[in-house]
Amino acid sequence: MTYTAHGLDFEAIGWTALYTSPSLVRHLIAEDGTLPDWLIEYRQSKLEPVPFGDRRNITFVPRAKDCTKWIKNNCPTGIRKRVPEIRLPKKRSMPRPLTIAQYQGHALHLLSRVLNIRLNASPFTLIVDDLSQRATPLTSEIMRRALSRNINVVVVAFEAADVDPAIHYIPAYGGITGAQLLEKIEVAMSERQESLVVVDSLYDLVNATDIDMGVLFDLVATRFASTLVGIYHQDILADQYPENAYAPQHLEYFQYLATTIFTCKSLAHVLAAKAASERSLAEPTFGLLQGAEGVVQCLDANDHRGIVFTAEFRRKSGRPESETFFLRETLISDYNEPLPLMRVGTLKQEFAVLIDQVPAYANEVVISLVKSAADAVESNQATDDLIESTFNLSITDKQKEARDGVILPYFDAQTANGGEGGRILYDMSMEDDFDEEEDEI
Amino acid sequence: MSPSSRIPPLLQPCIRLPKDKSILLVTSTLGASANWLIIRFICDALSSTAKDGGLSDEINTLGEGGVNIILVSWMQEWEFWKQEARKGGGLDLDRAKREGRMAFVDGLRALFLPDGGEKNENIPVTKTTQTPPVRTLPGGIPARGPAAVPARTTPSASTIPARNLPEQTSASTKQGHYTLCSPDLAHLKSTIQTAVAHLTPTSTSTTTTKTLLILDTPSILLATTPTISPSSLTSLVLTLHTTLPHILVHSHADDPLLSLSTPPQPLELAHHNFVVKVAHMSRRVLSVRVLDTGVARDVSGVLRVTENKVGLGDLRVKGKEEEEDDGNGGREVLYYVKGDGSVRVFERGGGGDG
Repeated sequence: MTYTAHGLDFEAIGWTALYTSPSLVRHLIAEDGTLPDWLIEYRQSKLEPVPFGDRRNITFVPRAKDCTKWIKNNCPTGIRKRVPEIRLPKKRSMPRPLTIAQYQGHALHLLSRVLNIRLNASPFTLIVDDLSQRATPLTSEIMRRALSRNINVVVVAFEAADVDPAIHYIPAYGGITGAQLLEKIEVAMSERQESLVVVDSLYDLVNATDIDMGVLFDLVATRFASTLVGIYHQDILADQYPENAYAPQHLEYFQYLATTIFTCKSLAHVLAAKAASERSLAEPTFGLLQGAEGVVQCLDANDHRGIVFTAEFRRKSGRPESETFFLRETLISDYNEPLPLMRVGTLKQEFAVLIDQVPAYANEVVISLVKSAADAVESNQATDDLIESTFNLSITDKQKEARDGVILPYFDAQTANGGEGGRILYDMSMEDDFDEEEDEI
Repeated sequence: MSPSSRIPPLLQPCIRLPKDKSILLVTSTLGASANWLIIRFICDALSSTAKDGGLSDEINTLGEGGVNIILVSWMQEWEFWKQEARKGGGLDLDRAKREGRMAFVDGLRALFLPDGGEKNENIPVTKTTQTPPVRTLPGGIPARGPAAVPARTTPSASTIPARNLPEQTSASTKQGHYTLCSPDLAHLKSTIQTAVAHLTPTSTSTTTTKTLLILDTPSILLATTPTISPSSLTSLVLTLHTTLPHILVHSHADDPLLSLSTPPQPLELAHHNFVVKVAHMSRRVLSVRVLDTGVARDVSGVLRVTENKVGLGDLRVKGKEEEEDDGNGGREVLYYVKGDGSVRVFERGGGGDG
């Protein structure tokens, strides 16, 4: 803070010179020893302590008001009531978004940073998929967006035989060693400043080529400040060797390393699971879990409408945030016309949404599914009754009317004078035969 | 009867090869064999020179070129395929082989049969082998042993190749017929590559020849040769895929091979991982299984077809105008293999003549 008065800049004063020869400023002080007003003002401002925060608002809440409460003393009433302690309203550790719009905006912002390969958004993104929903729509979208931002895309392929010519393709199958592969990746990355490296099977990367994940991560994220995206197929089973029985499974290790984890699901399955949970039924299982022999992939796998994925963002602060998103199929209209020499134009607008914003998930389809399921169950029950019973268990309308007309004893007891007690109220009808003897018992 | 008319209309979209490069996976179970389906693939590929139906538009635009076939079989012999093709598809595979449309790589005789197939082709198969004899039941479903059975012949697999080398040279003189004499993958690769060289280009106008490579149960190598890992097998498939546009892998998907016992056995793990990995790589998965509700007199089994349209690194986006959606990818049909080898394919509930 610079304090200027009377054209004096106090910061510019050579204080050492001033202290060694005070005669320089002697003229500033008046003959009678009084200081000029501006100097007093300046001194006040310097001496006054700067308020640190707003201390007046801080109230200390003692656990107990005083020590007397610690000692038991016999209270005359015999009942000792605990004096309510003053509690502050619980302070929330993190600010939460206030409205739904803010919440959606926040979640989508996090997602689009990762999808668009923004710098340092997520150095290592792990995509966990299975046969029910492959990660390819998601990775294709990530690559498309990376290319639209002129980022060098490198694919380390263990499974894909051909990719788009705009992508730098490194075949990793066919007996290539880990060292050679790393070298190739390094060469491919050094072409451009920023890169996106996609490994299409992390399992094979670790198993077949013996690359340590840490080394690759160090190469991609630390040395080139780029982004690594890895796919792990959940349904490929890890080998179990006796010599590494205590080592963590690969998937656990990747999940530990990853800064963002996407878990892919088929939209049809998510809808079915929701319909089941709304009826409190057990969630259906899909794919290899289905149990039918010979079934490899379930019928509604890889839903063409889009891909559902649960994302776990691990923020730099250490706070994890988890949301479920829906990425619909990409259309040409989502991207602008590509510039010459570019494969993909720029993205017009983020089209990934939260799963709650998907109409099919949020309302009518699911509800109608639920209803139809409920109807099916009920109609089954109705027909079951008809079929399985030899008795006619239903009643006619007339019988129902008569049943409704019966006044039960407790209704009578609730009248003002207590009614007539426990007397059985019965109106004799035509066919009734009053039996005296029976009544006497 | 023209071969293409042997393919039921409902089956047509399932066995039509996709336009671009693709890997297809066919799985079968012990009760429901997929040999009839493979025959239909061969049928469709070989018959696509004919102008009438049964050929995809893409092939038509490539000129009159059909699709050449390399069949690599570890579980069946040439004789079996020849008979099945004649019965089921009305095809003469011998002629196709002579014309250079087809090549056959025999992975069974030299590797797994005790006599190495030195005797006459027809007789020894049923007489001396440890593998179950290949016969066609009256119902038209070929009976076949489980994949694990040939594993018992593993010791012989290592001894046979040495004394069988002359056999291979004589076999290669036979047009388009090759014999694998070692379970080694490099040998398999080179054999397939020589087979590719044998095939004649189907059309003179185009430079790209379409070739369909059919690998019939390569997973048997996982059982017989423990040094082969599932990933090395899939790498081989991918390496071959760089030159061959279409690869069909047939594998077993029986529960004992896919679901794990505790503790998991290496073969279970290897087989499971192989099938799952090929399924991940493949564009279309065709699974054949028995009827869930039990045996029926007029239904042989269920065929389930699922598609994975988007490949990794496939950056093409769909415009609004090209709406060629055929449902949600997956569908199921029932099929019935008749005694004469013909196949009826129909929807559930549509048991009429189809």
